[in-house]
Amino acid sequence: MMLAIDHWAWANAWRDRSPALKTGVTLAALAMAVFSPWPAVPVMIGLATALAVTYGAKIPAKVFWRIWLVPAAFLLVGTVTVAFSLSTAVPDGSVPTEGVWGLPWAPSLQLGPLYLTVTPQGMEQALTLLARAMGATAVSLALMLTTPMVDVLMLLRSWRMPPLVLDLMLLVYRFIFVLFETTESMYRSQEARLGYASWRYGRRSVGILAANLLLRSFLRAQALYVALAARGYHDELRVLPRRRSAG
Amino acid sequence: MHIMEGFLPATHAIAWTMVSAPFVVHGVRSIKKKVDEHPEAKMLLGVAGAFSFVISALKLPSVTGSSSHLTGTGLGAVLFGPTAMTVLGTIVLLFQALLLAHGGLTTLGANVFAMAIVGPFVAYGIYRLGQQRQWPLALSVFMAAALGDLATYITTSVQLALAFPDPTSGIIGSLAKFATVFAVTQVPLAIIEGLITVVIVNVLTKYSARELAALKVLLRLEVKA
Repeated sequence: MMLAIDHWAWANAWRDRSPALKTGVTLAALAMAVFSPWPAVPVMIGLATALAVTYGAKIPAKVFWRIWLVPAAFLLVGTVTVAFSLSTAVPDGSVPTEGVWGLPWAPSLQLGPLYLTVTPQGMEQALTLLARAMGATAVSLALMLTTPMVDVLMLLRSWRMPPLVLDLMLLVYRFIFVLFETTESMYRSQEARLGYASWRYGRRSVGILAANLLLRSFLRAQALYVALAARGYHDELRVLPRRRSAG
Repeated sequence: MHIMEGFLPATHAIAWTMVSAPFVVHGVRSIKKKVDEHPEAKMLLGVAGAFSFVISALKLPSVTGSSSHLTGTGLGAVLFGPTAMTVLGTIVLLFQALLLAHGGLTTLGANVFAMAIVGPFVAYGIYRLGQQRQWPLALSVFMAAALGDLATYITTSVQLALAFPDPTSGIIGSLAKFATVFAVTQVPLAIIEGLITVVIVNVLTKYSARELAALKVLLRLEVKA
């Protein structure tokens, strides 16, 4: 199926560890990584997490790496944007022309009236950011990869999340997979009929697909309501938690 | 364009969460009222949330070839109204963070503000304006979806600029940087989203008017049968 994270959440060695414990540790580590003023802290937390997830929860390192790098494009663009400084002022003493961070030169570019330069502050900010974002991403990945969504919902219930919100989340989770399957088969039939042969066709095909998907979703929702009502549904979807040993 | 996990400093992450929370709470209350009157509305909303998630994972045929995808924000705002969309958007953003590693838990508040509050409210406002001025439906829908996306992208740029002011030119300089860099992908994407949303609404109103009329409980879109 399309969701690798969901697959591993059900199939890892820590699947049956207490969700409250996993979530607690994750949130604490996340807070440490984000609050720490030193970039070394999130780097250490990130590496420790990667080791714990691959050796402890037995998730293949390749899987972990691939998902860790999902936000790589955003990270790259974001940090480079932070590293560069844009200003109308001619670079003066505050911008070292002899180079920053061991580079033999300070990259500087004139764009009409604007100057684009790398400043030491910008560079430092970008590196701190890189460390924090990578560390934090590893930590929340660890939770996602070891805890099935159903356990997350149970935990939220014990945290007094309103039942309406929990029901909506449960429905969304269930229907994501149903709708993915519908989408896949619709996409395949469109593709087989040259629906994506050109960019223009593709745009139209995506629109038609989405419209039909929406309509089918609505019909499914109505069918679900009828089926639940026939079984005595009143106002809350109740499911039995799986029994587990503590710890 | 989701702000990734850990990208915002702790103070900003907390502040944006506090800004978004009242909108989400208000949204939950108004949904609860609707669900109390019409129990089947809950299933429709749940399925609508899953629909948003799934179409946001659809790869778009795009000129740039990058990982562009629909947001569904404009469509959702036009169909369900911005208040319901705030709650659905929040759930979808949480699921995207937990199931796809798009966005994150610490940046959820900031992403909710940009994508589940500003985007839907701008889109819905423009749709209503178009209806008042009696624009053709296609034009209202296009403008709503495209400008909703642009509003989201500008909000995200402002959030990043506030968090990372430029050492020499401050927040304004930083905003110029982020807005320029992200415009490369976000402006074409907004136009594509607008065009595709028009196709979706056209197909729905043309071929599914009867079914949609039966779902009037929830839908804001005026369907001419």
